[in-house]
Amino acid sequence: MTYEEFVNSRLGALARYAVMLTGDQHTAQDLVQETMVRVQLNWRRVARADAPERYVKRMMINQYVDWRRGSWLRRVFLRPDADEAVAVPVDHAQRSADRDLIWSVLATLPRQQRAALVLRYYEDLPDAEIAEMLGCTVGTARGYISKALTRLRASAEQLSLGGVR
Amino acid sequence: MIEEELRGAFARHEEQAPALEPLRRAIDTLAARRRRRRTATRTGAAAVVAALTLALPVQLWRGELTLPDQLGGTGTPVAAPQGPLNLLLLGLDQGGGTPGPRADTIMLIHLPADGSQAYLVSIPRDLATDIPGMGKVKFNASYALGGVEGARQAVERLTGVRADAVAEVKLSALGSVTDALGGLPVCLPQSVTSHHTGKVYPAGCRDYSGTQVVDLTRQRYLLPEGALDRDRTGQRVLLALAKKAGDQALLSNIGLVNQLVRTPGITLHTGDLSLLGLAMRLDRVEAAGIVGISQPTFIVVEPGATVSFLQFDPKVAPNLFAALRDDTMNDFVGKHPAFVLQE
Repeated sequence: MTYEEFVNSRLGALARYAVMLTGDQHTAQDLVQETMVRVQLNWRRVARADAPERYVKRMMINQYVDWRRGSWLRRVFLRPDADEAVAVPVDHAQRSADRDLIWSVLATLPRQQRAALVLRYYEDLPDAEIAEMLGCTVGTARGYISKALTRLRASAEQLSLGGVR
Repeated sequence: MIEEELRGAFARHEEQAPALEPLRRAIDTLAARRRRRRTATRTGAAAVVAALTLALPVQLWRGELTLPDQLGGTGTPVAAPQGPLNLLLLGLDQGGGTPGPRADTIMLIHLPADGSQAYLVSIPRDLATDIPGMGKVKFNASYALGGVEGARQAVERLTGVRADAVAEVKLSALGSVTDALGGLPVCLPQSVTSHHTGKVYPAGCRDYSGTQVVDLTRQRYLLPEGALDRDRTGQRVLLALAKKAGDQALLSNIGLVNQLVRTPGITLHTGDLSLLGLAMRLDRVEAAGIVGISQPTFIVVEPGATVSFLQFDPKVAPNLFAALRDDTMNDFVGKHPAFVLQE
């Protein structure tokens, strides 16, 4: 496969995947961009991997998870947690606000936990592959997921009991 | 169910994905820019600068070997050694109240089997190490007490990697080499004030003379992380050396090589390795393929002790050393981009 073919067929999926990891369009763009530049410059090595797409996604996760990275992640720290859900006083809108609530709680999770959730519920990967992508043991990966779910449930309850938003 | 909500949330936000065409253009532009920077130094980024100290290929001619066709000569080509290679670089300084030279810079240079890159792994001279029969000492005591072989063994005990070759380079030699190359373009992330001469070297990239490089490379007192920052400076100087040697296509410039050959203060210990083969291996590495690694360390002060030691992060160092042994540094760097020296 050439780099061109790879980009033609996979860039869309990678861009969506980056949104799931970072939670917003701009950071996602930076993440894809930085990763794909490295992919392009090292294409031979990427192409040699058994599954190039998986390899690239793993590069992206590493880039995203490592908190001491360069400039683009620092920008994330400066941004508010997530986009505020706009509350409009009709049932329909209340429902969509509830939905975005999950998205904003996701933004408060540690990166590894969020990455684990993306791999499980967006990519639908089995635990073993999630662990491989995160470079940890299966037990640790499961731990990330269950901790993240607990936190999501707790926050969701708290917020909906509060009844605001 | 929260799981279903999650799937829903992910699916709903797919539409937030950045637009593909501009994204693609941005990637191509950025990659082109970085590639240009890379090819600029491609011409032989010679011998990781010549083995990062110039020492190795330079010594070729001292051994009266003929230059092979690949390097512009007419002699019989020598096969480059296969498999990963590890070179140990000892930067020596004099003075400071010790009788002999001290190994202030200790760096393991790892060349993976695929030959495209070189990794610089600094070992802080204040790192605690056990020398059989001596107990716990600072790492550079291994050189003070046991010479080249002592240092080589200490590195092997620490990392499990046995250096295939060792280069001892006096700081003064670094100065001579710098001048012979017409100065080095060193990039500093922060300004450095010399404890020895009071000179200030500003942040950013600029050309340095031999005297300046020597002064710069010695500084640790006024730097935030002391000797660790000095190790990083050392890596930066080697990078500059690699770029400069690459730009000048060092290996094809016999006049310059002849001059460098006479640099006093560089000693090489290569054991069974053919220098010529080694130089050929090094010649495949581009300056852009040189990766400086700077891992986290802790200061350990033991109760009642008068000296404090450094210790590597027990969560990182074993992985790094395993990657050096297994020749999987590429994966290590992918997983720990934060430890890569930023240009």
